[in-house]
Amino acid sequence: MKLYGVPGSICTTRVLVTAAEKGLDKTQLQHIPVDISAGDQKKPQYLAIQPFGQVPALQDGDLTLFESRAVIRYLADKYEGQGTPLYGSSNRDRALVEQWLEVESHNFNPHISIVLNELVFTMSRGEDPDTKLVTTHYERLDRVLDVYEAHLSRQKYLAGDFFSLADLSHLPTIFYLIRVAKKPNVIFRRPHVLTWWQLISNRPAWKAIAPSIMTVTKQPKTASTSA
Amino acid sequence: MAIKIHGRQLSFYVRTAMLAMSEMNVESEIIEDDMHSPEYLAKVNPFGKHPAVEFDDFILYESRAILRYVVTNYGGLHLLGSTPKEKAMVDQWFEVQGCYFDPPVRSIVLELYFFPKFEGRVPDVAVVEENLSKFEKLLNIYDAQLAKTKYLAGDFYSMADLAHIPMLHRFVASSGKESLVTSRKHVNAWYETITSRPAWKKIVEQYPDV
Repeated sequence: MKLYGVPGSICTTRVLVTAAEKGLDKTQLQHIPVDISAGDQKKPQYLAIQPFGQVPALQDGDLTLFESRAVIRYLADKYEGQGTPLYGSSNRDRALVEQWLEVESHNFNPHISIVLNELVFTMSRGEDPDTKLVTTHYERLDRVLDVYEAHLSRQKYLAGDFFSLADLSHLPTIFYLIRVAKKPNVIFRRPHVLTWWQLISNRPAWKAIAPSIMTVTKQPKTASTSA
Repeated sequence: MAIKIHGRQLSFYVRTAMLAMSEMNVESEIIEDDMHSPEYLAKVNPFGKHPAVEFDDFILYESRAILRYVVTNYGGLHLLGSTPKEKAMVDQWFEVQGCYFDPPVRSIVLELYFFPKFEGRVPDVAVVEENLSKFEKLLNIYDAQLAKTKYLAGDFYSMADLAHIPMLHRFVASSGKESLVTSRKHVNAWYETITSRPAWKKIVEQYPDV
């Protein structure tokens, strides 16, 4: 399989950590960097793979698949029998994993991604962040995390007492918030969210993938690395 | 016994849950409760949103997770795709619906239909124009895909098509901008096909457009 991605970017990292949890090596999943500073993702050869000009995209034989959350579901199903189970062990477990994947995508991500876009990617282009936008969405993120805090006071992980794709999906953005944007407070001041974060970010698969973000974000930039 | 759906029938997301049940021939009933009440937050959905659905032994929220669960467990596996490749395509276009289709189209329909009709608000022209432009670019991609396949994920109706129906129907019926859809040959044909499904017609007959 080939993954067209941007090293260190949020959506590419989401796919790579899933592959790592499944124990896939470089011969099973080849990572092909897309140079977005050269605008490669908007060129015809890439648009033929991903018509929205977004990264990442996966090729597996004659299948071309995009949207990181579709790709991670595909890998979780394809490699169901190996590596970490990512959907729990029953229909009900799976329903709750799907529920929390949707919570991540539609309740959590919209706010954290705007905060990150302003504090990390806009600034990396040498522009001033929109502080009003940051405040508004940081406050909304705060309220969503109140729900997470109450929820995680009753169970270890989001979908139950098992690690799943729903927890995994949060790894790249929370890592960026804490380590790159340096705004850890929303996480650190909530004891159950913090415990959960420490659990999921200390997993070997994440520890293997995370350094690539720090390598990329420390480099001097000519253009945004956002994808 | 009818499955309880918490929400109001006018909501796109409640209608997604209703349509999932309708497609599976499962009886459902609407419970119009207050999503902000302490009881709802404590017992039904801590995020304070509709819909939430009561299944036998648990409550599920997030309309897309509800749709997926109903399709998977009430006889609709064919709507997910039958091979790994088909399943991947369904998931992909389901994500496209959630991430690229929903935000601009919701914004347009809120500004041009819901706000004037139910809140007496004047549409924000700049917001409408910006989102119409995004929607047009999206529809060009859809039209190119639907020139190749009858439905989004292939030549079979899937959960990805279903997810578009409530909001797309409202856009065409009530926004005044339906030409964006009707002028695009393949999108229009697809739109007509999916909204002609008996499962959707049943809902529109029960709750006619106003």
